[in-house]
Amino acid sequence: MSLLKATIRWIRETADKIISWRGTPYIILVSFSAVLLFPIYWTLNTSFKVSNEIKAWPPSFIPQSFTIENYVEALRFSPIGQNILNSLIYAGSATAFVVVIGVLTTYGFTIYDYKWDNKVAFGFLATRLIPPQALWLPFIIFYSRMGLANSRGGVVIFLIVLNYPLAVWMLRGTFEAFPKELIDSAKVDGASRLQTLLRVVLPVVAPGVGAVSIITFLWSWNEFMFPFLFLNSPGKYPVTVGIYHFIGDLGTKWGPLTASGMLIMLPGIIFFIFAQRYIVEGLAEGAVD
Amino acid sequence: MWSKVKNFFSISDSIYGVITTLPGLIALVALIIYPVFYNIFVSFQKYEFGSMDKFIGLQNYVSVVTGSDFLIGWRVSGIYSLGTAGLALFVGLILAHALKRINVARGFFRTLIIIPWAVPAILSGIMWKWIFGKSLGVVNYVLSSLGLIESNVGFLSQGALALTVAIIATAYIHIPFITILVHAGLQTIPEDLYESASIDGADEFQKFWYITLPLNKFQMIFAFIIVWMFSFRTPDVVFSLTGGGPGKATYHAGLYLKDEIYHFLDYGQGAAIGVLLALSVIIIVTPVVLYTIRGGRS
Repeated sequence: MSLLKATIRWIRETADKIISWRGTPYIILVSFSAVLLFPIYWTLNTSFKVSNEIKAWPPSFIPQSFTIENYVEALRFSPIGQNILNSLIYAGSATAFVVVIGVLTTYGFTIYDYKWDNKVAFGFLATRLIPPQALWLPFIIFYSRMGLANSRGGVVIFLIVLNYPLAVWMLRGTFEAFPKELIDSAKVDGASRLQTLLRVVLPVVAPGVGAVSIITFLWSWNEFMFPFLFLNSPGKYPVTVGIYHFIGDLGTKWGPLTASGMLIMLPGIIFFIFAQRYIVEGLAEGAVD
Repeated sequence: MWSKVKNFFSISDSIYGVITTLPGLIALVALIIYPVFYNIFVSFQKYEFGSMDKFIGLQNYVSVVTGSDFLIGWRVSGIYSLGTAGLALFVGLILAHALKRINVARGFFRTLIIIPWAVPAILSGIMWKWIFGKSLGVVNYVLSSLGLIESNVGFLSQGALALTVAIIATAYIHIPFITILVHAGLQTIPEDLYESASIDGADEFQKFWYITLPLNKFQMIFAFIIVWMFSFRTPDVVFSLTGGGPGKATYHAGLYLKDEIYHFLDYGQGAAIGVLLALSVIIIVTPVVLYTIRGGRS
């Protein structure tokens, strides 16, 4: 018994020594980052190989036959180029709407208090609990009745629905941190409320608004299932749906597939690298995924 | 003239607040609340192949709940979501602690860690499908070069393994969120607590158990429940990774809903599945979120 206790104690002390060693966090971070980045690296690696090398065993960790053929094929012989353009339009329009209306809404209930303002804010949070999946069907029915079936507008509206409540909830965190004294002094200076928003409030909350814009854009860019269910002309597909059809249409040609994958991941990755500080702050303030 | 117009439109601050909130609130009601109620309405109708026939009470719910796909879908979603949230929280905790303890290159590592966040769910499924492939997958290559397997394993052709890969591919895109949230929570814990614990001879496990956990409990539960919710309802990763297979081993509840709408065109039953999915999520998430919000404040 005491031997067992001694063993447990020894394991625990050793583990404690290993964990508390200064180098351990670095080893953990390096190895976990490698694992987290590996799928992206592997996709990139495959995308630069000729198809014989892709089918070769063992797989090579660096392309032996470096080629950009897969990118050319993806862009030329599939609608992925058109799909990228579509996604830019869908995500861009949805983001513009969500941010403008979201800023106005949030400005209203955070800066100018009224009786039910907290309940309104909570209403936005509560709608986050409704699965977007439960909205697929009603929107498909509405759209077919309203003549919006298979329309670009229909996609944009759904993306707004998906992102609007989260955007408002995140903006709320940013706006509530805004010092109210500045509002009062702007009022004394004779600024209208809209001027106050544009000239006094927005410059201060800009990082938060920027984070919300990026997140809205990315979540719209990444959305798959609704456009998949709703659209039936390939010319209107966003990238996510386009790449999914790539799998079936070409019997999984991994070269062009991974090349398209890189193309659709890249904007998000670049956004996250350059704006990570604001995104992290925005999310910490909104404290909601 | 202008001042007259201005005076005419001059309103109190609180009314201005109401007016600016209104467009957003109307959008919320029109685009979310109304469709939800419409979905509930449809779930009580016989509505197949685009024509709504008649009110049939709970019949759609009865057919859904007594069908085998309901149990499969909810079981798969349940295991998948718990596995995903658990794995993501576990890795997130390790990474958040490691990030907290380093002084050099913290921003660099944080940037690397949040990159998977930007990966679309549908693409995560595709990438991991390629990595875990049977004949050309790199995982099989690594395992066989280490001598751990004799012949290539069909990870996606065996039920339990396929579900495990689905969990990994989904946790992958959620790890950054959990890491960031937990890391933000860790930074609010005063450093001298740990210092005085060290002086008292506490080891790392005790510090975690007696200081970090009680003080960071709410962030952890909150992060867990959010990832749980997303995984329970969102079938995108599974859809591109396995398509629900092999057989129905990864037939996610969201795939069941999708099939009912998309393949079987049974809108009545689709609506019933949607309502059940929403209820399952709301019943579980609401108390937990309220608990963490309340706990976080006090």
